[in-house]
Amino acid sequence: MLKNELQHLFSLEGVRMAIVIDSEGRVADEMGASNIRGEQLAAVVAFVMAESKAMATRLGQEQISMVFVEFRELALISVPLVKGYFLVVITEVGANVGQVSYEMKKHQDMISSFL
Amino acid sequence: MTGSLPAGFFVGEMQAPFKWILIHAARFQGMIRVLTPDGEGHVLVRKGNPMGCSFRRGKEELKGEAAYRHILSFPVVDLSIYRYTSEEMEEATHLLMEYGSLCTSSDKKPGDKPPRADHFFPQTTGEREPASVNAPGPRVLPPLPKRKLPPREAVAESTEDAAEETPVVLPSGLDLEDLAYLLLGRILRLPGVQAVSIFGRGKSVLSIGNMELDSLVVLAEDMLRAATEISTVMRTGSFVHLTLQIPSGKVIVAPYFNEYLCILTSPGVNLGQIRKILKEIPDMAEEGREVA
Repeated sequence: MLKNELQHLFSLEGVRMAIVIDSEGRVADEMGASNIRGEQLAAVVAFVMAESKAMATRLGQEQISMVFVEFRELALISVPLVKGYFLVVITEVGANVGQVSYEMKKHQDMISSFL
Repeated sequence: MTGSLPAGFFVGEMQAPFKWILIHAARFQGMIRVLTPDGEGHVLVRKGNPMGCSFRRGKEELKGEAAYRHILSFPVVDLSIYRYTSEEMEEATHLLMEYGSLCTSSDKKPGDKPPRADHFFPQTTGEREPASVNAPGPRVLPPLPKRKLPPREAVAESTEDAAEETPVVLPSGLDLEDLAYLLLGRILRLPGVQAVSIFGRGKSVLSIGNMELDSLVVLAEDMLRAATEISTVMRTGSFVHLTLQIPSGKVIVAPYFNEYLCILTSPGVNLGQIRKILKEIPDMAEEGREVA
């Protein structure tokens, strides 16, 4: 189940939200803190991914491997899934970003299989 | 302690030909610690000119011109740069004179005159007579204290101090252009970095490397604008950096004073090294910073 996969990511230390969105900014599924509105976040993250895709295309690449945005109080990691979907994880400052991104990539195919 | 050089304000570390740093330090005054495969030395620099120098090679102590020539004999050296205030500069010059480590004519610009004692010691009382140039000194020049990189907050505080001294000069003692070249040079020397650019308002201000980044900065700015939109839907704090990873490498965008840096790398680059340098940039961004 997609929910179980997101639950696994959400259970990692420092993760505040795990969400799957499509390229239009619609939420496929989410698991996270109640104070984060998934729909709003999905809309802006889809925008980030679209601009990142434009940069990748300009550099001659068809695919994005990962986008990492760091702010003072949190970080956002996004990896592509199939059919234009993205897996997005929001982490707190101090979270082990290496471990989170490793788990995201590890579960990338499994999550894609549910879409 | 009488025999110690002033600690100064740590600006940064880099690998470069020593002459290169002088070319890009036209407004800098301070001490540059030099590490070579055979030893360690110090060069006192004022406005791009070496004022004094010492170098320890095993048990041998080189001073003044000899030390400076030895440092120049290496194509690339490891440098640690420390800015001095005017007072620290005077103190360091005094010490170098005592140790007989002043340089006389190395790399002086045409028309430059050798430093005069009355220039360095406007308040000399006669109690500390300066040693003659290159005279053998009784003591060796003591090493600069090793300092760790200051946190961003510390750098920001120092900005205020520097502003009182000379408003047009950064806390490092370098002007913005010098600092930009230093920073871009340091980043470009990291293994895997292909090109670095400073950009703002859709235009590349300064760009070095194997690839032309001018055409990418508009896209980088679009990515940046999209990323900062995240702050409109949740509390994020100020923007630190964005990394786009693609199979052929990475694109990193980070704030640089009122502009931004765009770094293009190969896949195997050590992001930690880049982030370490980025963290040394004085944080002039405020909460809610927006792309111009």
